[in-house]
Amino acid sequence: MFQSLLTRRYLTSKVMPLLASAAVMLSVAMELITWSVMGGFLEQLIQSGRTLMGDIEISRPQRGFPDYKELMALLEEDEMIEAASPTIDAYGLVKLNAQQVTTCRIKGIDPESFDRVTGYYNTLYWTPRDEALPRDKERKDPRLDPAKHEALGQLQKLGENLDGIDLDTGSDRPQAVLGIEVFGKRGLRTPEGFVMDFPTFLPGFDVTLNVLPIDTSGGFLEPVARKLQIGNEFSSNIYEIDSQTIYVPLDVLQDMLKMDEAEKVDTSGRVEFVYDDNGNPIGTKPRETVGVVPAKVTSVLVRAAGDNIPLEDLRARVEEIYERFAAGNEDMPLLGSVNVYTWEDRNATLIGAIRKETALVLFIFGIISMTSVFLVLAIFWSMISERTKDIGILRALGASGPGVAWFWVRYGLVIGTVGSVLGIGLGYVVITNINAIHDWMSSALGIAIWDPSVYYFAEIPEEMNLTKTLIIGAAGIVSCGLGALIPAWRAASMDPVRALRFE
Amino acid sequence: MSSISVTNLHKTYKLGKVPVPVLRGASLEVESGEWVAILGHSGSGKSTLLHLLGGLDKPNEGEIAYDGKALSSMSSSQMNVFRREHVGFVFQFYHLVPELTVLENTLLGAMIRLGRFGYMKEAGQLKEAAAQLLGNAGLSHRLNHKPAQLSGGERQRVAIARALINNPPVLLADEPTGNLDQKTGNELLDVFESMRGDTQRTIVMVTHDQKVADRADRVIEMADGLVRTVQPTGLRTQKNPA
Repeated sequence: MFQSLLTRRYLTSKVMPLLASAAVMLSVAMELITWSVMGGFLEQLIQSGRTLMGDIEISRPQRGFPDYKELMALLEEDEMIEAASPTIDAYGLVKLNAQQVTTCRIKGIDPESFDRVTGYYNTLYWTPRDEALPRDKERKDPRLDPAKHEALGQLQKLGENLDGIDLDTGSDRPQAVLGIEVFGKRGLRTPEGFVMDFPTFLPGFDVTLNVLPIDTSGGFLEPVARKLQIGNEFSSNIYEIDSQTIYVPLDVLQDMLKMDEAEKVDTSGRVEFVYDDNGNPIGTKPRETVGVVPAKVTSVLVRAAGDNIPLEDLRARVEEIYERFAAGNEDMPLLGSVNVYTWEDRNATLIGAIRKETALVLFIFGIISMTSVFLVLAIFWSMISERTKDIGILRALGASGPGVAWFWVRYGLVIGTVGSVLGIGLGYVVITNINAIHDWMSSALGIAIWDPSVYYFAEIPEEMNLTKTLIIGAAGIVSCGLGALIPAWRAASMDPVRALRFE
Repeated sequence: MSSISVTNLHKTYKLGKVPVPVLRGASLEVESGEWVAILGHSGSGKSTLLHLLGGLDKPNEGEIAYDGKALSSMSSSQMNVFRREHVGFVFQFYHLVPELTVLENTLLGAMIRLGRFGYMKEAGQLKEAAAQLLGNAGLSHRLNHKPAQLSGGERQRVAIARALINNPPVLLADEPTGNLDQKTGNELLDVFESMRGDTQRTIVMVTHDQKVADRADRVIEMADGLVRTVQPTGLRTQKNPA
């Protein structure tokens, strides 16, 4: 009983316990913020990776594989699979104007099925908006303007169909959808370090794509250039994707890469020349058409029918379906030259690195947090010296050594609890406002720590969950209890006579 | 009520590596309900004797017995119980906890004795008892004051109330008037006198002041770690010379 009374009174009567609580508070807040940001980073990376490529990818880079429509139909019949979508991945040069030329990952997609697998429609940037972005306190976002909603609605359709009318001529024209950062807009910084919030408007401009097709034997063909109209832009919130990806219609890229449907000719037998009247050869006879080479894609993306299907089970099922399909179709390459990846496999290096980095940072901060143990130890040591006479009084009144020790340990735990609760509160405020705080630091102090081009995501991610909070809070309390142990032992073993005579 | 028997008590402290004998074979008897003053100059060993009597320290040699039961036979936890239930301490410098109110300081001993649940069960009665003790000491209007707001005499009266809250049969007072002026000291001794009342509590009071000592039933004079018994009339009889 005396322990709780003295704890209450000691806690509020001196500045030292408040300092100890403040140390714990800062330590807890620091760990919570670090873990939440790193964890949020990892979580966002994982979710984004999954969103952008679905759950499974059947992939054969460059050369691709045919009969993907039949394969997709077979896949979508399976109860574990929600949707499948064909894509072509290629790298090429993209030119906006004479000054702005960049290399890009050009992705040919079928928008409707691509949306079912990846949620593509939600990533389109130029669409009508009613709610402002969290950081857009002053509602500067042009997409919020009701007067522009009709035009934005048209752009949304262009993005969703990747096909539409030429805004200048009114004729039909395939559209391209650029990653919002492709021409370095959101990453552009003012001299004060402030990141530009809203990109310049590119839809309606032309963009020229240059790709290098390869033939069936792997040889390079002539580069192919094609000018498309920018129908919309997309923002996945992953800088690396938004700065390096362009979506174009699947058939357009198939055509450019010579992966579209073609006549199959008989290549057996001798080449027969065609001669002029003088008997000079002027060409070769066209070979006999013996069939059709179906169009190809480099990937088929697959979305699971629910979030609870284990990825490895899904992969096994997709492999099984593909093998069955390939066995009955001689044009299809066998598994081995076609790979089946999960989204985790695709991002394994990065995810693994971030997981290790998170663990390392937490370990380092854990060690730094041990300073709070020693801080509490030092503060308690000093407090016990100051309270020597009180300890003598308690012993004279019959308090046992363990009773006195428990008072100090309990006092440490209370300080730890106060510090942890305050630290969690501080951490919560910082974490939930971390982007606003960062914006303020950028504009007021000229300090911009989070560079999207370095940190992968355009905004600082965060993920604060109950388990992490409880673990860190408990660690703060326990560290205070540990810090109080040695001083408590010292108090318990103090000679009461000396304590009473202490000046 | 409790009688005290002290036999051939030795206590030596070490100052660095140098042994400093403080008690050199002190013996005395205190009868149950008796108020005994231990008189001596500074360094005579009287405070050390009081600490040994209260179980705050252990002698190097000799024995202390309460009603025939030797303190040396008690374990550490039994000694804690002994201090909680059998003795009450009053110190020269009051030794109140500055953060606690007068009432809380008084109740501190009861909290230690009863533990959390025992105290909570009897909290109402104990608060009444503490208020009554403080009222008897003339501090009814000071219950919620902090020690810093009290005069020296008032603080010492709080210390006495705290020592009595567990109704111990023995009160040990170390220079209770040593930090007070003569008038306040006399008033405090009146409180000692009154609180003996019907309880016939045994009181051992250490002082260096003959006038204070003369208020006791019997005066035991100490010098150089030895004990002499002196009658309150001033007729001194040496009982156990070195």
